[in-house]
Amino acid sequence: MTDHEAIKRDQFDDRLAQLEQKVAPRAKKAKSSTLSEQSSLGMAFRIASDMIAGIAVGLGIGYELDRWTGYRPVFIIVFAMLGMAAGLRNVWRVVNVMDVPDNGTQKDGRSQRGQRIDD
Amino acid sequence: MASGSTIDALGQFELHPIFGSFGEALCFSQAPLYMVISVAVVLAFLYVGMKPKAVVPGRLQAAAEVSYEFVHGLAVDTIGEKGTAFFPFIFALFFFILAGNYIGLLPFSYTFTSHIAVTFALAITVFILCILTSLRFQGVAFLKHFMPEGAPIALSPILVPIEILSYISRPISLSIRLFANMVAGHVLLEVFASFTIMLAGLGVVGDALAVAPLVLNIALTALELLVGLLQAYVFAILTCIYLREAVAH
Repeated sequence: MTDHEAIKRDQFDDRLAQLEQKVAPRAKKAKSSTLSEQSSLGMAFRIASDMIAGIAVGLGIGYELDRWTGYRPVFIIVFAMLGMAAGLRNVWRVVNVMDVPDNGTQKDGRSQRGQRIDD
Repeated sequence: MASGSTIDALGQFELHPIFGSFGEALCFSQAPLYMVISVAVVLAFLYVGMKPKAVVPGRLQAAAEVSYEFVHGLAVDTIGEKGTAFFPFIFALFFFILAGNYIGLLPFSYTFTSHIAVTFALAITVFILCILTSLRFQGVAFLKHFMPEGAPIALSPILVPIEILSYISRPISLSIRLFANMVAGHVLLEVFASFTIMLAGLGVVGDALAVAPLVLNIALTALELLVGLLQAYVFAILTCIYLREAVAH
């Protein structure tokens, strides 16, 4: 290998590194934006169904306990309220993870519950 | 189907025994038939796609490889390194739901994912798997997650039931989401298709007007293609998230 070739290769490496740096952030950004676009509809449905599911579980458990114990309205009231709280807890959990700035996925992308989820 | 001026939008979800008396004896309806069909389609896609084993893949092989890598990436990125153990399950789940959603869009076919019995069965499978995985990796410490860290102990009689209910509501939420999306989409398709038929019965003016719901139906079909993929994806990624919580901590 001649000197000339070695210099050329060094230059090539530099240029490659430069170009990669130029391209990489954009590629990353494009990926994350398509993911979030894809999932905004899914996120809406996710929040709605999480909310409904919490209330449904609360009402179901309350109704069954009422039938089983005979204290007709007691358990359904208690568990409906607990179910609503659970539904809100579900939503809060989703939103808390979601509500993180999109830039810097590694440093800023962690919520207090752990690593950010990109869905 | 639209008969006269009424729209029977929910009739499409009814189950009937098929294959005559043979199906009746087995209680074999459209839903299991289309489950078998979608499993066969997915298996055929992978088998035929990977058969050439070419270094430079053809279109079908590339599609099969992309689908493999997509779900593999999903599982490993979300769950972590232990995700490879769950990859086959998530792959099967994702493609079963995806094939069910897409095959259901074909005319004269049946969407088995539009039944909460089916989606709930899938969700409860995920739920039980998550519990077993949690117990396997965390043991009894798994129960600690029902008490949020840093909360005052006096609040535990309220917080613990809320956390438990929130945990139990996961499979319900998973199943309701998929089932509701599929039912809503197919009801809309049915309603607009009925509009077309009803308008076409009104003579020349109706014929012209009937184009509008038809165009809408085309747009809705495109939307349903998106929703079908999205819901399969959401189901798969939520499974991954739940499994990650079960594996980690």
